[in-house]
Amino acid sequence: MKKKQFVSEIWKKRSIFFYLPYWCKLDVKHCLDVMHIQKNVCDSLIGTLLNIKGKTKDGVNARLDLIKMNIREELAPREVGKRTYLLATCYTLLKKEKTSFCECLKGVKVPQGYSSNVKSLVSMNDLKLIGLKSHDCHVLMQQLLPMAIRGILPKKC
Amino acid sequence: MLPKGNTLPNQNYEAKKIRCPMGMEYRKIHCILYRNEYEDLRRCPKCGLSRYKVKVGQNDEIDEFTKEGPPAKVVWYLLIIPRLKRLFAKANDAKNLRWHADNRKCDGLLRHPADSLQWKNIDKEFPKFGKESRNLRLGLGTDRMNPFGNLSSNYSSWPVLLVIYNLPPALCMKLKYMMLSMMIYGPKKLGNNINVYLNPLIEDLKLLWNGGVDVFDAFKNESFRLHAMLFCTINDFPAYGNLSGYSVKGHRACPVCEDKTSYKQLKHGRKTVYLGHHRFLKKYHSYRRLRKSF
Repeated sequence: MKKKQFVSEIWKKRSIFFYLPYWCKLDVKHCLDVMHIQKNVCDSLIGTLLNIKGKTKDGVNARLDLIKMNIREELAPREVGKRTYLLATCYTLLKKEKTSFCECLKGVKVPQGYSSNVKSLVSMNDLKLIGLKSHDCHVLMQQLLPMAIRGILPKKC
Repeated sequence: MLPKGNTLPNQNYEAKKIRCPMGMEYRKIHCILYRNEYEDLRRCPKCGLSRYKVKVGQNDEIDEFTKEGPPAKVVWYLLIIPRLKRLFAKANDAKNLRWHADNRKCDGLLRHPADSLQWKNIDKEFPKFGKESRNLRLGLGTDRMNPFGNLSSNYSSWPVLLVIYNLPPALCMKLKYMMLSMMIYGPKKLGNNINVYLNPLIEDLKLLWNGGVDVFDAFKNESFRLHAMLFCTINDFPAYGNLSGYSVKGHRACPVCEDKTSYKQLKHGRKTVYLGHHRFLKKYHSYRRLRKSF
């Protein structure tokens, strides 16, 4: 077994900023780039929703881990004969639903300077969003995504 | 290309000749170590590595006097103090730099770092600094950027940007007011060595905090002693680790929780996930009752 790390071992070096006399008095020294994080979240959300190969976070391993953690037994992968089936989840979209999702985004018109032209981001051939900039992700998460999903939500929720 | 009446200098040399007296010069520093008292050295005083590039196959042993050539490592440092002086020399900009004290709406809502608790705490902690509204509070942002395509990993560059938070939020992040203070580049990843590269910047910041610089304010038509401080740094998570010296990978990735980070190693996904965010809620938070929906 690996040795447990001590606190002194996790801090690799003394930051150079401590040479500034006021640095230790600050409450928040480092901030994280929120746009960057939002972009990552948005990417994996859309990847999972549209089930884009390589981007989706759902897969056999994720399902197996659910068994290991003893949650959501209904999602466990089923083995029938030689094949393993991943059952549909609440976020799995049919092809029809995906098309309506993409068509909804395709029809969006935004004012100038608001975000990039959303119409050009949607590729209808393979039902994907391509070339999102981080500000587009912000607009998607804040406004467009709730609107686009509204049509494909189950009737009773 | 240019509007009528404007001309471009023909040579880079001529352009520099005009720019440099105005304080828009930059300094190329060889591997940072060779500054001040080390300026004339040819080898690293600690490890003995050559200051200049050594050709493959050539013997590493160089005479103290003969060898010269391209330096092994270069950092561009664009001086910040003359730029701050230039900013104050324009009446309009000098007026904008006092915005956070004069024209800011104070209604308890968070719009700008000036509304934050830290800003007020600094005013309390250092009353002399806080009293002068022209004193600058800077933000430092840095991230790895890849100038050549997306995926090539054999070249990395780290621009270090300074943002002035005295300005109104509309101007704060404008290209004109952001200062590129440093350009660190090279074939290798920086990692924790960023400390060494940031040295000259920190020295200037120390000077700005301790002694201050005499600056002419064009808005009030007077000269005063300018102080500046580094307010915070903004970066992504891996760069956070490099700047703060915390290892942001592995089981203890959270720099706030340190060794109390709650983690779980997924067996099949082979990733470390960080769970247990419920514990940050208040004791009787309504979310705690919604166990089923989560």
